[in-house]
Amino acid sequence: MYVPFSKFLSVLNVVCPGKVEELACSCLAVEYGCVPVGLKVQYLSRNQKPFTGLIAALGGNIEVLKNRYKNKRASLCLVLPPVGSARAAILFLECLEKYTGIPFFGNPDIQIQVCSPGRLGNRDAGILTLGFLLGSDTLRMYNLGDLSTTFAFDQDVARGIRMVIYDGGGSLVKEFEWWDCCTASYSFKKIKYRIVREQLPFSYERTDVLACSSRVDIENVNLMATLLVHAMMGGYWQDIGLGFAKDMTNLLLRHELAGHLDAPWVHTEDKLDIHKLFHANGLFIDAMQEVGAYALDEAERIRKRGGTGGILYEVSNLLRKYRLEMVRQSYAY
Amino acid sequence: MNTAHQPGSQPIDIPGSVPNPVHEPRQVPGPANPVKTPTREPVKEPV
Repeated sequence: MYVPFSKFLSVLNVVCPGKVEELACSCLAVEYGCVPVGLKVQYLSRNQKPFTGLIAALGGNIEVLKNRYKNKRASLCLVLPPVGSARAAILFLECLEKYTGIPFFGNPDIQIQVCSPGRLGNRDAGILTLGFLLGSDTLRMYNLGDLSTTFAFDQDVARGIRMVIYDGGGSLVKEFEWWDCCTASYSFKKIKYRIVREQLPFSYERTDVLACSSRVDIENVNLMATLLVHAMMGGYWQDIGLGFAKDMTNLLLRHELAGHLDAPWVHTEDKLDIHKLFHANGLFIDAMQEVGAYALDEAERIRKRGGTGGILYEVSNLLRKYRLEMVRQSYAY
Repeated sequence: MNTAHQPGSQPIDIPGSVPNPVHEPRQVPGPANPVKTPTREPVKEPV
């Protein structure tokens, strides 16, 4: 659980009143029918000093850090209340940067966990992981230690070691818009209508990306999670969500990497089978490192030639295309 | 430091993290001939 949003606003208002006012106005607003954004800040440094004042102002260690989930290397995990958009999430983190006096973006001591509603299937979790990895502004070679959490081998909610994990069965704030759709026939033509529901169609399910580190990462994860979950749930963005999943698969196919989507990208069972989990952890990290190495190798060869292109440009272009398409269709309605 | 090797290419050393070239700011090539700073000619005063 987390400290209420109003408490955060009153504490942060002391250091950045202008930004807090903007955040208060935009925190619940959903943009272009994207899913809301939950955030966890994992602080990997042993020196907790930058967060001491913030935690005290929010109610103290017992109130703020009561969650038993965190990255195994983190000295603290700050769970933030969800906001309606990636833009509000970035604004929220910028306010926290100002309060603590340390950078949150591009800081190797900070991992930003982006939480999206709905549990994606394994193949979609693979698309989300690889889209995040290849679309990021920094390419990282992760190892299992970077992604290990206190729930990796938990007896009740074993999540394994992955870039993408499900919720721990806790609660979900459902009071955000969900863009649904219905079709009606008019003059022998099928027309799609947008229905804006007042609540998310999930009870507690979430899919989280663990190691975001930049504004681009948050925006990309929010975009891809929206498209993939709408494709899964038959939401308003179902058609372009299915198109995105197909385009990503074809892109990987062109680079002989589509087989990697069969790797275990998310652990879908709660129960702990230690041997199975260890084996799957290995398959996951091998697949992710192979794709990362391929992208870096290709980028290096292209750079030496003095050109552009390759898988990194293709992923970036694909994300841009779908982002623009969502904006276009939002206004076209 | 990791290494990557694709068939047909030399293995390369890969550091823990590198900037994605897509997001790197592009270097704008400078003008071919450096722009001369305009200088004021001294005004010849009639003797």
